[in-house]
Amino acid sequence: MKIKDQYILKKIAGKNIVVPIKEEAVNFNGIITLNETSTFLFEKLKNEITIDELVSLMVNRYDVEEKIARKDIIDFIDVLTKKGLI
Amino acid sequence: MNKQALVTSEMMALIEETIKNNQEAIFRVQGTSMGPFLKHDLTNVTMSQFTKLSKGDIILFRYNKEFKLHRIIKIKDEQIVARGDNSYQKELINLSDVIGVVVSYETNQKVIYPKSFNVSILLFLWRFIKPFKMLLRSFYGLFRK
Repeated sequence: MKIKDQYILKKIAGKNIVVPIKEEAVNFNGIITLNETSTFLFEKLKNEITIDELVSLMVNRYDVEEKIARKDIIDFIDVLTKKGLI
Repeated sequence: MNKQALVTSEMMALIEETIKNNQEAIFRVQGTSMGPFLKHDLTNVTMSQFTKLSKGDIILFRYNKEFKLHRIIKIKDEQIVARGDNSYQKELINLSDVIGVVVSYETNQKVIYPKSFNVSILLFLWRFIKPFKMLLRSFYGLFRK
């Protein structure tokens, strides 16, 4: 799975914001901001990657148990899928 | 991940970039200076690039390090005079300060076009009522003392 090409991450005033670049109109009332961990996952999801690979990367990068990391990643991917980013 | 309102300056930087990118930008109005037409935290405006501006257009522009969304009341060459519909203070700006123009706005799911005939009539009536409103406000201030 991977993030659709029309979404990019922009850093503005210290905040990581997901911006649609190909849509005709951008609705700023529903703009998505990402925290540090979700930014890390978003960057990795720019290229084709599996959940297992994401879990492995996250466990290596952050001090987190594999079980918790997997749950957080699945939740994050679920949100991205529902919002049509994946 | 969460949805969160960005502070004005951060959001405006993004909005400006979006408009420059030839996309439309939709955001919620903050402030009461454009009342009763644009309502604070209730009206969503859709903004785009402009090719030509004229009197009556609602524009987003830079003014004294702030961003304002006000209506053009006078335009001559590169100089624009803008003012909030509910404000008495005019702003003199250059064409280069303008970021974008309001294409339409929506309050309570009703879409309105700023240059429509109905808006022109309401605007005319509002300009007529506005001085009396100021007078009433002064009287109210006197009675409160």
